[in-house]
Amino acid sequence: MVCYGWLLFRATSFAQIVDFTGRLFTGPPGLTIPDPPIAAYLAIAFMLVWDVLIERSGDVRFYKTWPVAIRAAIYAGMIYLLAFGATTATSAFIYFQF
Amino acid sequence: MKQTAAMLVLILLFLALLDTGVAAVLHRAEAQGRMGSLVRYFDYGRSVPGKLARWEAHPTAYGNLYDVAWRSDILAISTAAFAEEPPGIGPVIRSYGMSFVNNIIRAAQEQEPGLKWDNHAGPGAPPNFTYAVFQEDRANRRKGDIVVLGILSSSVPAMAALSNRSVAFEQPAPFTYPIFQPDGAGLTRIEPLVNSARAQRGLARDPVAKQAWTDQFTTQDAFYSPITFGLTWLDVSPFARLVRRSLAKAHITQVKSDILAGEDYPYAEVLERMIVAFARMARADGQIPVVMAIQTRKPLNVDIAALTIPVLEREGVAYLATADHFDPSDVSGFVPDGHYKPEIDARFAAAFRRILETARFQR
Repeated sequence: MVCYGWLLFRATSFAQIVDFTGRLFTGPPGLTIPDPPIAAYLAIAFMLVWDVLIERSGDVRFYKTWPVAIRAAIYAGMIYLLAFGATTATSAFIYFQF
Repeated sequence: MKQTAAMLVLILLFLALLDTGVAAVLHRAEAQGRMGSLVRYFDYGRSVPGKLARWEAHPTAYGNLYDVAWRSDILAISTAAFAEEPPGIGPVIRSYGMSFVNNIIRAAQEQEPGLKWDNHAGPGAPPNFTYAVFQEDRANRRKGDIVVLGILSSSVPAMAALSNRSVAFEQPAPFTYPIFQPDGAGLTRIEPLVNSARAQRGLARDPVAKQAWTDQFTTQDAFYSPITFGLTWLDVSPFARLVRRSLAKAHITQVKSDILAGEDYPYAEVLERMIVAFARMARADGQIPVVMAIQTRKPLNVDIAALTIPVLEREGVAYLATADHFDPSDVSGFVPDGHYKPEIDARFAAAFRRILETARFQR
């Protein structure tokens, strides 16, 4: 909804609003959304599990009662996941061969 | 306090364990020849010297660009091919570009199989590469030829670099090119000390030459950084590679932004002088100059049409500006690796053929 609101305010003409709105519902070769990178899927899965644990325990700090070693392992995993997702797009063209 | 310290130590320990496990998995996948996209994802973060060393050791490695686009090789091939050409071959398209230019001319050839094409290109080649090869290949052209100079928007900042290896971190083809600087009314070339794959390989056995090249590289290449070239021993750690890749990308983006902001390097002035000199040399040799101004999809790129069209029109140089034929902000026109889709290249090719028709008519 917010993104569509941007379209309304940033469009240069009513015709452009109609054009872009139409393309949103027609798929390629209209407007396209790139596939999310693997790191994004992993982070979504991680956040989902985290949320489920909060819901089940009723405590946002549910992990405080866990053994220190388990918590440290989870924190390490989170740091690794952050690094994994830090750069997901290449900054140049990648060639199999030239 | 004691608990926090214990926690930190444990986190570092688990990070090291995790990193060792990931390294082992990647090593095993690589040893079995399963170079999937995930393995390459981690490989992109190796240091530039690390990647070059691996390409030297494994010439058949995926995406190895070690021996690609060295100007000495391009000129040797061009000279040999020119000597083989029959004298009455007729006008030949002599292109000096990169994959984008190749794709357009290849599409033009598919539409008109009679087109004769002599191709000189490098991956993601910047204007200082394409213009330098154009200058050096002068003896391998004839009167009546159509000479195409490719200018790629995303490669304009690389005009302040001596080699593709400092700009294209993920796949650093080591081929080199001069940096051009304004000098009076013309341009002066700063030649890289390494100009062939053989010389590049020879650096390992020649510490004096290696030091001289490193000194030149660190002082004259705007993109050189210890982030991309230093601490090569960290390449053993997949975690460090992930971090390096992130830092390298940020560094390269920052340098590009600084250059495009007009700091560090007068790219607009140099580009204008290149185009003028390109057109004059081609015309002096009885050839028809054509410039391909190619806009890639990256939104932070320089607007190459706005930058070049005023000088092209002032000098009366024929040009193909891709942005005139396809909106580069429309991502539907690109394949995932950033090149244009074949149908869009076909559109550019049709426009290029119209330029050729006009050139034939004028001749």
